[in-house]
Order: sequence, then C-alpha cells, then structure tokens
Amino acid sequence: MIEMDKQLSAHELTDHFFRHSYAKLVALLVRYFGLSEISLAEDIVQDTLVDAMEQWSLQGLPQNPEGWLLDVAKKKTINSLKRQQFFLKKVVPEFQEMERLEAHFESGAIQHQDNQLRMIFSCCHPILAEESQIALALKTLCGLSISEIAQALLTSKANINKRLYRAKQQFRQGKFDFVLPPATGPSGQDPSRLTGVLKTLYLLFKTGYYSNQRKTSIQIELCFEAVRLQRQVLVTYQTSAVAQSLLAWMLLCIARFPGRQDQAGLLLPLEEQDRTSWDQRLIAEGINLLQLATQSNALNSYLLQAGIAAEHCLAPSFEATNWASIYQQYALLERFEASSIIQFNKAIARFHQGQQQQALIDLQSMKEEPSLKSNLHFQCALGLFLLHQKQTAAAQLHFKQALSLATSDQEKELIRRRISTQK
Amino acid sequence: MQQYLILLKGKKELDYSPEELQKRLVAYRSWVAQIGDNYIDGQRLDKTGFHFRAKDQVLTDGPFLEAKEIIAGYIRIKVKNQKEAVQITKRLPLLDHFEAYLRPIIQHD
Repeated sequence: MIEMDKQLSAHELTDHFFRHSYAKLVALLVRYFGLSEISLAEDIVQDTLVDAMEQWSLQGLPQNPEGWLLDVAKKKTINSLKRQQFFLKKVVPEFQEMERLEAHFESGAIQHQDNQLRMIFSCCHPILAEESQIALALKTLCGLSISEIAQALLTSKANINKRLYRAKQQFRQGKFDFVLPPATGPSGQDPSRLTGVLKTLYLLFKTGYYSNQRKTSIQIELCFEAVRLQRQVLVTYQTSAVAQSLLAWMLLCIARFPGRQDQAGLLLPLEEQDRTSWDQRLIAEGINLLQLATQSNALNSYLLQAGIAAEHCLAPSFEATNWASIYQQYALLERFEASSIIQFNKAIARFHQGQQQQALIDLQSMKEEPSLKSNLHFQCALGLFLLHQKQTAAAQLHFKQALSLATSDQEKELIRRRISTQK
Repeated sequence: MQQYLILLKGKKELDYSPEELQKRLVAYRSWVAQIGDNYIDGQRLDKTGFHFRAKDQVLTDGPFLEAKEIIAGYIRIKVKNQKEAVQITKRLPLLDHFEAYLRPIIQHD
C-alpha cells in the first residue's frame, strides 16, 4: 500500500513540464532509433508520460522527475526492442546494442541540447512542405497534441494528421541527414539549412502572433514556444546576425503582450495600449540583441522587423513614436519581401509621420488588392485617412465595409471606437 | 470512522496531450492535499487483464478495447459519515474523465 507523503506538494512541476519533457525525450529517442522510427519514439514517450501522470498522482513527484522519465523511457525502449526483435534485424550482438543504449540513456541525457537542435533541423528540413514543417514542429518540438495543433492553426484534426503523415512518410524514406551544419558556412555566411530553420520558426511565431481572431491561450503559447526554440538555435549559432535579429524581433513583440488585450481578450490597437505594462526586461534583451545584430553591417528582413518593433517599444507614447524611422524601415523591408501588408503598414507610418495626404494616395492605390480588400484593418484605415481629408461620405463607405468584415461583436465595437475617437 | 472505496471506471476517450496529463496530475494532487487525513490510499490498475463471467468463460483478455470498459483504479478514504464521503467524491477531479462508484467498506470489528 502506498502512503501519501504529505510533503510532496512542496515541490511542484514547472509550467509545461510534460510538454517540454515530451519534446526532449522524443529528440533523445529519435537520435537513438533514427528519424525513420519517429512514430515509435513518440509512442514510447507518450506511454512514459501517462505512466508518470498515474504514478505521480498517487506517490507524489519523484526527487528528479526528468531522471524518472528517462529511466522509464529507457525500460520501455528495451521492451520495445525485444518485442520487435530489433537485435536480430540489425545483426548487432545484443550486448553491443545494450552498451549503445546504456550510453545513450546515461543520466542527464534528457538535457542534451544537441539532440533537440538536431530535431529542430529535421523538422524544418527543406524537403518538407512548409505547412508540414509547422505541424511537425508543434507536435515534435513543442509536444502539442493533434487537437491542440488543430486549434492553434485553426484547422481540422484530420488536416493536421495528413500533414504529419506526409512528413513522417518522408522521414521513413530516410532521405534525411542528421548532421548539423557548422556555425558558419563558406564565405562566412549562414548555412542555408539554418536559414530554413529560422524561416520556419519565424512562421511559427507569426502564426501565434497575427491572427485576427481573439487570442486563445494556445495561440499565445505558440509565440513562447517559438522563442524557446529560437533561443536553443542561438546557443549554437550565436554569431549569426540573422538568428540574433529573429530572436530580437520575437522578444520585442512578446514584450508588448501584457498590454495588447483588454479584459475580454480583444486585441487593443497600439494607441490604446498601456505602455507601462510592457515587459521592460524583454525589451532590454531584445534591444541588446538588435544592437549585436546591427554590428554585422548587413541588413536582413528580421533585423528590419525588429527595428520597427524596437521603435514602438522605446516610444514614450503613440504620438511621440519615431514614425519617420518606421517608414524608412518598411521601405527597406519591401526590398526583401514585396507584400501588400508591408505596403499597407508603410502607408500607416507615413500618415503618422505627417504626410497624411500622401498616405491616403498610397492606400487608394492598393485598394483593389484582393488581400487588402477583405482586410478590415485596411478598410478602417482607409476610412480614417479619408475622414482626415474631410471626405466624410467616402469614409463612411469604407467604415461600412470594415464593419461588414468584422467577425465578432467585439471587433465591431473596436471599429466604432476607432471611428469615434477620430472625429 | 468509516472507510469508503471509490472505484473508477472509464467514461470517455481520454485526452492524452502532455499538457492535459500535467493538468490532471496537478488537479488530482491538490484534491489529495485538500482532503488531507481523509485519504487512505489509491492504486491504478493496468489496462490489461481478464473478465470472467462464469467458470470456463473468459470474456476478455485485454487490453480492453474501449476506454469505458476499463476499471482504471480505486481510492480509499476514511470519513465520519456517508455525507462527507459524497462531498469528498464530488470534488474528485477525476470525475472529468471517469465514472466513480462510491461504496462503504463493511468492517468487522
């Protein structure tokens, strides 16, 4: 009979301990089995966590929870090898295989950064479709379940399963090298594989950061997960200005999370946010990284986005923001990726910089762009710019358009508020 | 004091996401801490096993196919009376995932 230890509630698990342990253990097991056996690795880890939940419920937390998980995962791995007659297939003498396994599961192995980094590079492999990369990253690197991923990416579970299945098929075909690229490639540039990894983490962050929907906690967590992974990448590739820039941008974005939503969870426009609630520690870290990245004297698109975010973070108020600098950085950013959203943001910066008439002309020149036509923020901005030029009737049309695009009462309310504050 | 047995039986497909597992663990542990001395012990049962309906009739030799067939475990509590036993069981967070039978254990003194 198990006696409850009354002191056990004294030590608690850290937030997301299970989720992150899942990711670490999968990375460790995949390193042992090979990428082709990723599903087996996932099953073993899942089983281990269920055991942990059941046993720790009754007996309390062990002294070293990670060590406990590692031990149980190791036992399950041995059982699985026996079941599958792995030794026979591999034509490796059993004692040699056991030696390899012991070495692999030495204590503390769960913490090996190297395994996790390899896993990051595998999940962000250019062979895989971008949408598969994101789903795989969430499953394998972040330990989210299928239904959590579906919720985060606003799609169905079946869809996520399909994406994961395709990715794992490719793993099974074994076309992947498991070698990490050196910190700097030929001619001092980032290795191309690193560029791909950064892109995926960038998209992962963006997925959590920009969705017009009301933020659910899972979407905000995507951003924190992206930051966590990006920090891991930076440990090895710390001299990469692009990697520094990306982390700087992420930090300068999440620093403003505390002021970004009202009590109902609705996103607040920048001018309504309480700037004193922004996280100064994250802002400082972001600015430091940004300065480091600038020393390389080469621009990259993350650096510009971080620069823009920095202007917002450092401005004492919305009005006192350095809009000229933001405008310039958007103009440079356009050279890296021509997108209508960047153009739109550039025009907004121009408006606040004092060139209201020019900004209106800019917006009007892009109003037939399909992606902007259906963007309620664009319609709303166009209305406001028109109103500023005393073109009230035309402004009303766009406000109406914006309201019709709103998907919730809160969004409508927000638009009405913006209109009324401008009059 | 009277002892009661809480018998847990699966009720639906469980969400096994790591985050959910952690939440269940934390919720259960805080329940145990809350009821303090009322808690005696608890055990989980493995998913595999047998179901006998008659002498020569083994119906299931597990693993059971459906979550709701599984008797997942038991908890023993000691309480002053039935009312207290019911109150404690009502707060059991496992009720999100399991059905519970609450039965007094007959004691011979």
